[in-house]
Amino acid sequence: MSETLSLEAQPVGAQSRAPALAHHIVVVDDDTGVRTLLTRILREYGYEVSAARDGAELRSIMAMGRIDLILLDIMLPGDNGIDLCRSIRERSRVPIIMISARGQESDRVAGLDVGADDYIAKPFGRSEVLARVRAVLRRMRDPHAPLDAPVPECFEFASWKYHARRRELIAPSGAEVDLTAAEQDLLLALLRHPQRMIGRERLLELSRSRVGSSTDRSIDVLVSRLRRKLGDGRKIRPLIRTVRGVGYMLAADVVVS
Amino acid sequence: MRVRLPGAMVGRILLVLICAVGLELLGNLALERWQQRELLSDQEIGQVAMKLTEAEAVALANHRRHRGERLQLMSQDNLSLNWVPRTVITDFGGSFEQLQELRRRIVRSAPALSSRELRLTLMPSAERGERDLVGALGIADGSFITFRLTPYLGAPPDPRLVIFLHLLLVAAVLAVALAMVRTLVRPLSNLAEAADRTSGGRASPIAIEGPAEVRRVATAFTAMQDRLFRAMDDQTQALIAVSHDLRTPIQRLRLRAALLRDEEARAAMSADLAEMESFIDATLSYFRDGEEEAARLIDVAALVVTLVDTAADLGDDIAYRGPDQLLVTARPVGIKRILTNLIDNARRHARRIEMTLGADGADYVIDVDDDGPGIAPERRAEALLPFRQLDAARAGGGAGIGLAAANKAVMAMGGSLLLRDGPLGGLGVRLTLPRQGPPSGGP
Repeated sequence: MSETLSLEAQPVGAQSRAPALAHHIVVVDDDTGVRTLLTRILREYGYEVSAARDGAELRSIMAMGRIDLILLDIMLPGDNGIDLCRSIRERSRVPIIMISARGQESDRVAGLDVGADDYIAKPFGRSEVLARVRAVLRRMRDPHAPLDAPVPECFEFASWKYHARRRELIAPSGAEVDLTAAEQDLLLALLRHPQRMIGRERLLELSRSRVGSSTDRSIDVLVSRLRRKLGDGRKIRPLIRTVRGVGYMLAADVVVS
Repeated sequence: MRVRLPGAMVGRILLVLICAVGLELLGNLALERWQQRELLSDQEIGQVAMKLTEAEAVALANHRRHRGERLQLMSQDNLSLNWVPRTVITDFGGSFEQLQELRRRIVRSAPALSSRELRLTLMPSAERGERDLVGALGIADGSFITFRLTPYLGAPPDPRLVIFLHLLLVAAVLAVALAMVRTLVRPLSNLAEAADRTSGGRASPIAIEGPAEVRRVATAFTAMQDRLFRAMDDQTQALIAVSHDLRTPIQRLRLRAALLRDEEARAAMSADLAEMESFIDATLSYFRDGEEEAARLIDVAALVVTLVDTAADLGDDIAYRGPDQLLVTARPVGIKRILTNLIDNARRHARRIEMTLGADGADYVIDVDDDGPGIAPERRAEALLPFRQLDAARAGGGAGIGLAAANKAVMAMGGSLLLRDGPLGGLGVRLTLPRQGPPSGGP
């Protein structure tokens, strides 16, 4: 039954979306249904997909050849996703997206701490998983943010602190400031290029890397939201400066540690 | 060393009774003694006895004519002596026990007097109320040495004072008995208090103490508490497990839905699945106590704005009113969960949502107002109970655990949740939370 469904549901023009050389994605999930469905959906969008039930199967797939991305469920029999992620990171920088149950904040932080590149909360839909997969793969290709370079842990600017792994922004008062995913990416893009003007197109591209289609707000809206949270709104010399008609610039020295 | 108390209640009550009666008895004796208190010490009695022996020797050594004079010369400040050939003094020792006792004390001090005739009697003294001891000692030649000891007995106390002292004694005995009875029943009242404290899925430890009967009740009570909590826990765990397990089929359905070609059916299915997810989230958050998260300094304004912006990005008509910044000590994930529940709830019943944040003294206030049908005042209390389906107007949203979960979580954070008529014409949910954070320790 599932075969026919797959044939019927083949998206029109799926072939055209496939990149010249298909990315190889490994889906690690112990639930057969989820695993096969994810595999099928990703294949329909032109990726080369392998499925693994647990850590042992993942290791044998990894031994066989090149992998571009791992979708890794945290709740696995045997070694859990966190342990697997940690052991993979000891050898490889292959991008990893963790799949966690919704509301398990500790899992999310733990996953990011052991080096996962992104996470997605169960239950998720097709568009969410595709957006995240595309974003992570794009970042991998992005020459401005090479993945094999170590990701800086912490940025300090104008008494603010941004903990990139945990995605925590700490105000000068020591208070944690909550950011949306798009705001986090925007801030990270600005922090990576301090004192330099970034064009709006480029900034929007960088800021949408993770959220994909879930926000279609203009970059001006995103910047004004971030300014408001940085307490930047009414300042004469704001941290994020507008370069009229062109783009934005972070007017602060950034210390990376 | 600990005194071993009788085990049973009856034994302890008996102990209290015996103690009370014994105390009353002792008190009465003491009062009796006090009323007839002697003003002489043993030493003074010894001196009197010696003086009498001396006087006898002096009297016998002198001629009868000079005896009176000589003895009077021997008188001291409180003891006067005289000699008489015959005496009218009669002995009251036979009818007055205190005098008999005194005679024994005198003889004990001067054994030589034991064979002499010693008449003792009491006379009122010059001082008001006091009494003197008057006595006559028969000497060898048949005459007498008389003596008078001033004073001997204190004034008899005022009868009103005596009555008052008796009342005081009774009161003291009653107080002691009461204290003992209280100690006796304290294990019972402790038990009652422990029972009162047992609520909201929180067991209060019960001390197994006191008499056998109470210990038996406490043991039974603890066992019952255990059984109840275990049963409750089992049910909670079952509900949590079901909610968790539902997520996997929902996940599959979500992905399967994406394979449908019928756009309309796909959208409808996605909406249904999103609703199912929000019920599951609300159910799970109702049973989570949020204790695992540490309270820390956060910008709650940024948190609320993030939720509002995210909801607005997903197409909700939602607005934020409040400061750009408001620092509080709180559990951010817990607060997010509460507000997400409330926004989900509002979205289900209304079109327009407004979130307002403000500081109010030591508290901060978050309002979630909508323009939906609202909840009638008389049904608001019920709306905060889990799994209550309210009237048809608000029936659009399933089990209705969202408000209950939010209420429970807010209370665990030391705050309160109020349902009211919102300014948008629908329901207004007002959260009031302490800026200094949740109380440490238990919620």
